[in-house]
This record gives sequence, structure tokens and C-alpha cells, in this order.
Amino acid sequence: MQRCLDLLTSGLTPEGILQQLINGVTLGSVYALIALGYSMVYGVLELINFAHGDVFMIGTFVVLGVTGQFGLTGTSSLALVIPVLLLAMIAAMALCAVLGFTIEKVAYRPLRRAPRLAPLISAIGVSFFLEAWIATYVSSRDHTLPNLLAGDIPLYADVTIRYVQVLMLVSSVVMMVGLQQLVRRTSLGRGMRAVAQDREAAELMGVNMDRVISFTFIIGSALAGVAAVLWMLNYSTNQTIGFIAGLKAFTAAVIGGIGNIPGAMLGGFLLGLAESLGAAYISNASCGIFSSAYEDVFAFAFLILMLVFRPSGIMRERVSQRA
Amino acid sequence: MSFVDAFVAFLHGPFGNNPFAILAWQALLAGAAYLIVRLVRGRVPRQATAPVRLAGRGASVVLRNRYALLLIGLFLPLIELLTGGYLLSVTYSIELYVLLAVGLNIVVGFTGLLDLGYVAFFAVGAYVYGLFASPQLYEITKQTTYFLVSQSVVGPQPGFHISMLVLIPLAGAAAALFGVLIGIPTLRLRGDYLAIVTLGFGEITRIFANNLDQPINITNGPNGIINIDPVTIGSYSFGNPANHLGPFQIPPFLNYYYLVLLLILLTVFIVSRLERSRVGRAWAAIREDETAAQVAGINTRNLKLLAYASGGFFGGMAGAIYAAGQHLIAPDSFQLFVSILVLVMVVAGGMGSIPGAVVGAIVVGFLYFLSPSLLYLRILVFGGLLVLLIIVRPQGFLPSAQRERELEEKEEDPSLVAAAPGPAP
Repeated sequence: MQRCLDLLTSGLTPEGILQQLINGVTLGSVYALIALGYSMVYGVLELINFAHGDVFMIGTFVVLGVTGQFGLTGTSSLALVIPVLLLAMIAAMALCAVLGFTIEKVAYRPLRRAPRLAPLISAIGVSFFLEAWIATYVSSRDHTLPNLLAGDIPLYADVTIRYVQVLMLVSSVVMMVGLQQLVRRTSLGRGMRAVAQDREAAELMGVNMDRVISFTFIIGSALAGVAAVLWMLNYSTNQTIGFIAGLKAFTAAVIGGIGNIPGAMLGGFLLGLAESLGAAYISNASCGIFSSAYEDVFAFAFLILMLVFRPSGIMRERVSQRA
Repeated sequence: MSFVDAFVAFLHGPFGNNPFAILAWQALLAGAAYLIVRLVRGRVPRQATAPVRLAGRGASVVLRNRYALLLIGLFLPLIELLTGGYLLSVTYSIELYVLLAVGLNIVVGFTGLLDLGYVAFFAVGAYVYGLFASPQLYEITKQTTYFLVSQSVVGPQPGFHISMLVLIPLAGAAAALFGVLIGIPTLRLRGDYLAIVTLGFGEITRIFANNLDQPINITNGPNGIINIDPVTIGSYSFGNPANHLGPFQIPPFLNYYYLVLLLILLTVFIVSRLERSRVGRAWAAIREDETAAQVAGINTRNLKLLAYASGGFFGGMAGAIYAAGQHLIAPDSFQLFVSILVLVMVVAGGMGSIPGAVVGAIVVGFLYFLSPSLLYLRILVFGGLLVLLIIVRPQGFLPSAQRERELEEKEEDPSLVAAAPGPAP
């Protein structure tokens, strides 16, 4: 028993916790960006877009391709790195947007009046197809970018925040604020909110539903493209990353209250925190019974508890009866 | 150059290995296929398509006839034996999927609870069989100080070796209990939320199986449980490749094939009785409108738990037989993919219909197992076909009559309205 207490307290330093908090928030900011795609589509169509994570995965490969074309290495100068990263972001956004648009048109639109589960099956089919396509024709190995923006800012004692992490945080917050403005202030955003509330009534009021749905997919997928760039700055990718990241992002969307933009952000941060703190301290906290191999169990357990005790999410956007 | 090689080369296109070139080529192919379908549709004279339609109708008649299905089920493996063992092993796997699909159909089709973690039941059944019919439990006791158990079970072979007649129902019961345990916290959830939570439970099960070699080695971690006993009846071991019937050698798969066929018959019999019972009608009521069902006096909580339990029971039985047939089980066999494959079978067959689940499992199973088994190409083809299949026939191959009627009512197709007998003028 004493040994367990020692274990529990040995790893716990304020610096360590702070560092994990920073890591968690930056990871969460990427989850949040992907979560927005799920959240928006679910809001409009009430469909879990299973293929959304794979759109993100394709984005990461586009980023790999673009940076590979320019031969970026860890020692490249900032004057080269920044334009190339911007280019990679634009390319990933554009390709993801086209892909999202196509998926909706080919796989979901013909099923709009079909039984409820049909689009879900179709989404699963698309997801398999994209994963297998990358594995067959591109690569089925792990890939990382070289460390492009090396360096960090010291914060407190030996706690640091890396430039990459600052970039991740800032860009995801900017994207989310932008999206919020889009949904609040433009006529397209009004259309999206109307379709989310009541599809038929919105159509009667003259909202072009097909156009709204297409744009929802385009915007959500473009955000996944942004998330892909940020992800590649700090993490690795392979063809299955879409499923894993997608699942976590969906969890984030549900935690925050699906259909709610600030909620997705909050959910993403919470999940990122839970994951990085969990991975760092679970082994010690459980006296070595649970290793970090149980990381995903805790993410799921978090989701399950959340859904059981507060099914409408933290921000309570919609009534749980509808889900 | 085999057919598969030609197919792979055709998909790859003539423009080299650049992904964008391949993408462009495949987009071209898809566009051409779409154009051809658009052009051809409605222009082909009816006589030309008559053989195809006739074959389709014939297949539908055969598939709807349970005696014809049974006859095929009885004799198919014998024909397959002539072509070598591979087809038979595929058919055997599909049989297990039929059992799983009929079980999942109770949860998803009858009761309308979308379960994406059905593989958990399969895993629980397999591990129960694996633990109680292998030296694994003896291995556990060796590591701990609890020698009592191990001493009592050290015989000619250490560990428990319980008969399958006990173990297969026991595996089912354990999975059913597991279903209730999963069901309790998720009672309030509906639709897609339920799907994600069940998916989570499925993954949690697999992760635990993968990591429970510490602190006490229960599942033997990623290596899985080995040396699992085959099914034996008296002195006849199903796993013995030297079994002979007269001059004919009986491969192990054939034994298991007929065992599972028997179980499928039993399952279909029980489940179709359940469907038409008071319980089945209550399940249908919950599926159509849970609130209304509750108001009508149906105990939705118990009935939903019962749906999970009965679905789990059949999944657990399938898992036990799987463990016996394979001799070894590892967590990798219980990936999320299995859950999704079974769900696809149920939906493709037509939700809520037992013949649909059976036929869906057979069609999707053959599609999956017989598509070119080149690493990822199989999943590529399968994913594409899945989308195509569900777009062409969103209600499934053999939807239950009731479901079909509901769909027709909803669609308000003008041609149907015109065809309906109206009041006499």
C-alpha cells in the first residue's frame, strides 16, 4: 500500500502536470477542429459522417505530399517553411473540400429518403474505401514530417511550450471564431441553422437545402484539411489515423454538445486533457495495474459517462430525445 | 496473368505509380461507368434483360424458400470439397457470420438499438470457451499463490477441460450477462449516441483482452490463448484431420460446418418464435416508438435488456465454436471491423427480417471473402461495393414484409397511390 502511495506521488510535480496540460490542450485543439466537421454534419443531417475522419487522413497525406515536393527538412529556413506550410494548408483544404463534397453527392444524397441506417452503412463503405485506397496506392506505413518549427518558449521552471503548439492553438481558435461568425452572420449560416432546426420548414421558407448541405460538407472538410496540417506538425500519420482521430473527435463533439461550435472546442480541449493526463499518470495512479495501453479505454469511459449522465453535452444545444 | 492480376492492373491504370495519376484514371473509369448506366437505362429492350430479371427472380424465390436454403446448406460443402479446402473454410466462416447476423438482428432489426460493438459478445464467448477448455487457467494459477484450484484440476492435461455441451451454452450465457451489463448504462441512449457507446464497449473489451496478461495473466495478452480443445463428442474429435468415413477423409472444417448448421437451424427456429411472441411484438413497438411503447404499458427497460441478452447469447455461442475450431484466439480477431461487417450483413439483408439476415450474411460474406485477397484491395473493393449496394437497394435484399409496407407508406410514391384500389366511382 505504501508502495502505491509512493508511486502516486512520485510522478506528480506541478511542472509535470503543467506540461501535460499544455500538451493536452494542443492535442485537443486539433480534435476540436475535426469535431466541428462531425458536429456540423450531424446538426444538419443527423448523420454520423463516418468518413469524416478519413477525409482528415487524406488531408494529412496531401500535406506530406506537398512538403515532400519542396524537400523540407528540419534545417530549412523559415522563409521556405512558412510559405510551403501555407501552400500545404491551402492544398489540403481544397482537396478535402472537394472530397467531402463528392462523398456527400455520391454516397449520402441518394439515400436522403432511405431508412435511417442506410446512410451510416454507406458512410462506413466510403471510410473503408478511402483507407484501403491510401494503403493500396500511396503507402501503408507511418509517416512524420521533419521537425519544421523547432524551438520553444520557456514558461515556468522547465515547462515549455513549443512554437508548433502555439501555432496549433492559435490557428484552431482563429478557425473556430471564423466559423462561428460564418454561422451567425451570413445567409449561408442562417440556412444551416434553419435546416438543422427543421429541414422541411426550412425548405418551405425557401432555403436551398441541397446547397446548404453541400456547403456544410465543404466547410467541415476544409476544416479537417486545416486540422491535417496542424496534426502533421506534431504527430505521425498512416491510413488508419482517420478512424482513431475521427472517433476521438466525434467524442469531443458529443461531450461539448453536438451541433454546437464552442461546445466542440470545449469538448476537444477536455478530451485532449483527459488523454494526455491519463496517459501520463494512469499507471502510477492505479498502482501499475493499468498501463498506458488503457489510454483509449479512458477516452471511451469518459464518453460513456458523459453520455449517460449528461447526454446533451456540456453546452446543451439540443434535446436528448432527438438523438 | 490471372484474372485478379488483370483486375489489379486495370484499376491501377496505365499512367504509372503517381497517386494523382491513378486517381485521375479511376475517376475517368467511374465517370465512364456512370455515363454508360445513364445512357443504357431505359433504352435496352425488355427482352434483352429478361434472362437477368428471370435469374434475379429465381434467386429470390430460392432464397426465400427455407427448404431450398437448407438443401443448399446441406450439400454445398460436399461440392466444395471437390474444389479443395479453401472454399469450404470460407463457407464455414460465413456460417459463423450467419449466426452473428441473426443474433445482431434481434438487437438492431427487431428492437432498433444500433449496436456497433457486437464483436464484444463474440469475444466473450470465445474467451469463455478458451479459458475453460485449455491449459490457460492452470497457467494463471501457477503464477499466483492459489494452488488449490490448480491442484484439483491437474489431471492428464492441466487446466479445465469442460465438455462443449456445457461450455457452448455457458459461453452464450456469459455473453448474455455481458449484454445486460452493457445494456444497463445505455438504457437512456438512442440512435447514433447508442452506436458510439456500444462501439466504445466493443473496443474496451478488445483492449482489456489485449492487456489482461498483467498483473495476472488471464487472457495471455496479444498472444492470445493457445491449445484450445477441439469439440469432441464421445471419442470423436472434430479437430482430428485423420477422421474417415469409409474411404473418404473428413476435414475438421466439415465437422464444424455441420455443427454450426445445426446451431443456425436451432437459432433461426428460436428467434422466429421469439419474433412472433409477445416479446417480439413488444420489441417491434419499442423500435417504432419507444415513448408510445412505454405509455402502452411495455416495460421497455427489461425488454431492451432482454434484447441485448438474447443477441449476446447467440453471439457468445458463435464465439465459443470459433474458439474451438481455431484452437487459438487472439484479441486481434475481435476488431471493430467484425462488428461492422455483421451490421452491414444485417442492413444489407433487410433489417428486422430473419431470412434477410441469413441471406445478407451469405451475400456480403461471399463478397468480402472472395474479393481479391490482396492485402488492402479486398477492403477497397468491399467498401466500394458496399456503397453501391446500399444505394441501389437501401431497404436490403429481403426486407420484412412489415418494414416494406412502412417504407412504401412513407414514400408516397404517386404510382403506388394510383395503383391502390380507390373507392368505386
